[in-house]
Amino acid sequence: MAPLVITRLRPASATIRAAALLALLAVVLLVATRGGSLQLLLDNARQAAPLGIIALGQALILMMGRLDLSVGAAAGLANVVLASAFAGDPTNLGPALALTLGLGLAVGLANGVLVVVLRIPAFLATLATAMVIAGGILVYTGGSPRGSIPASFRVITEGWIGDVLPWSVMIWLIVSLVLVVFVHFTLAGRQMLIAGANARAARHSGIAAGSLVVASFVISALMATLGGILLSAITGMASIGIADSYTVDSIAAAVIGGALFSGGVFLPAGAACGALIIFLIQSLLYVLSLPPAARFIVQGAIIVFALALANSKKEP
Amino acid sequence: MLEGSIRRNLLTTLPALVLLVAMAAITASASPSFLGETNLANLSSRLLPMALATLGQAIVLFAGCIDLSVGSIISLATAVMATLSVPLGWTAVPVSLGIGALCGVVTAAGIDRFRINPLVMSLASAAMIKGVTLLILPSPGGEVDYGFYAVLFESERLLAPPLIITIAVFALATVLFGWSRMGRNIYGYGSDPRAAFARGASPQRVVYSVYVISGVLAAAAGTVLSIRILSGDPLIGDAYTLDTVSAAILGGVALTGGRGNVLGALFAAAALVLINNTFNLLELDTNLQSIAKGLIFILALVFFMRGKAGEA
Repeated sequence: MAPLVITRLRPASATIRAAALLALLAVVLLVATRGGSLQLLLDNARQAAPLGIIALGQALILMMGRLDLSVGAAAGLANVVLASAFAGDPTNLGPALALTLGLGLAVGLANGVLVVVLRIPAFLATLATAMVIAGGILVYTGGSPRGSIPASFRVITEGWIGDVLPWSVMIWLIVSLVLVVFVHFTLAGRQMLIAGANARAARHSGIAAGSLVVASFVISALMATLGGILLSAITGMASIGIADSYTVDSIAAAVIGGALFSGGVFLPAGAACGALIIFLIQSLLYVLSLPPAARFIVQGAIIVFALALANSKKEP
Repeated sequence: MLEGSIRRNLLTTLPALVLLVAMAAITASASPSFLGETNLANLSSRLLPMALATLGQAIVLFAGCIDLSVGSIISLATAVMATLSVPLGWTAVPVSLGIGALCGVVTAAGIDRFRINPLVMSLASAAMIKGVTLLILPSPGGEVDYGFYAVLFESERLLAPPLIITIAVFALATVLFGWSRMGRNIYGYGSDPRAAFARGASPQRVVYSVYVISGVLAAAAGTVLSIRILSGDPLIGDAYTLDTVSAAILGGVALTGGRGNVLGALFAAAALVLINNTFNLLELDTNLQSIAKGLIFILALVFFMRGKAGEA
């Protein structure tokens, strides 16, 4: 039994590659900022947590051989709804969180139903939901979102545990751990993994793939909502379009971390490295005072580079 | 000789045609000025960019791929025109189309050389192209020479350049996909790459040609758009990506490749333009329009894709 556990815990080569790239980038960033410290890196990780959590959901969807293009919109929805439900008053905590997570759940269910019941290809279904959500946000807010996040709630991203570990990184770690345990050590999770790796084999083994796909979209939407909540805690207010870049960024993060579009692979540590890499690159572009437009170019180039690298390994 | 696509796929254009006629009938009965020549001329100048971009998307879909960079290329073309049209004059148009072709080559190279999934590769290209666009033109502005507008849009007659260009381009595409070897190869590759390869269609050539055609057509759409608004806008194309996919699907083009007709794309593009026009006439909030379009898209997918969709 012991060796099995050890092989299961050995990181995949894609994860090691991503970690090596991350280490390299961290060194470059430390050199570029001169006199940067571990504190600086941890602060980067603190701000990368929303992306990291959203990328986890995306990695789960990629494991199912699908794509969720609505995560950015779902995170933006969470941001707008949370701020307006809180309205700056910490006593609204319960209803605000319930409403935000409830809407996230609804988005996930809608995606799942469109994909499984109506058999619409996932990327188109989620693209359409993203469009409906974006329009809904604009109609609801009239273009100028209101409300704010009370300072006592913002501790979840601004606070540090004993000046060593940011709370947001702690939340990120806990969520990752829960997902790893779910995917690798529960029956439903393992069935999901098999359904993603080989849908036909899964069907022949009597796995009800449909409900698992719905479940994966619900989890992804909830992750996006949680990411949006953390983002709101960082910014402290509601803004329109603030989370849009998370859609492509989360795909990039998962892909850098070794996710395959054919499905069947779930590497949360890799996705975490990917999210940190993307965030460090953005910090680096900022430190080097490059125009913000450069990040789009870098974002696209990273996806191409990571996939080209992964695909070249498969060639005989 | 009518071997390729035209006859076999003619029926797939029917729903889009019905939708188009229905929309036209509803709008005409609601506002009598709809059928006036001025309004029709105005509609045809709105249709031109949408029809060009949709045709490009449809051709990529024929080959079983998808191009999510259409919107970014449109924005890039408006930025190029806004910076180059004054110093270069009409030379700016081929430059803009050439840049569109280059974008298509980049996407196709990623798919062909690095074997990256077409959907994701075009998404990555879209991000890179958006970055380049924002470097050229960080915010809406710039200037497109009025001379272009005078030539293309000044006439208030129906039989003016916008309609003539639309008809010419679609006539050419109909011939290309009805009777040429290239068109057959693209359809063949879309329905079964292996069989097409066995019949002598080079997969590389198909992938490069569809993305280059789509890039050029998207750039043409952007060029036309920038002439109409007399300036550039780095974000104006964003809505077009989904619009072109939904128009193509409404027009009976299958996402799985190998099925559909360029005329269907034209009818569906016209129907979408009419729907937008109706929303404007009804003075519907633009944000509600975005919701309505998303729902129309979902409905189109449900009606046309049901049971035919792949897993992706």
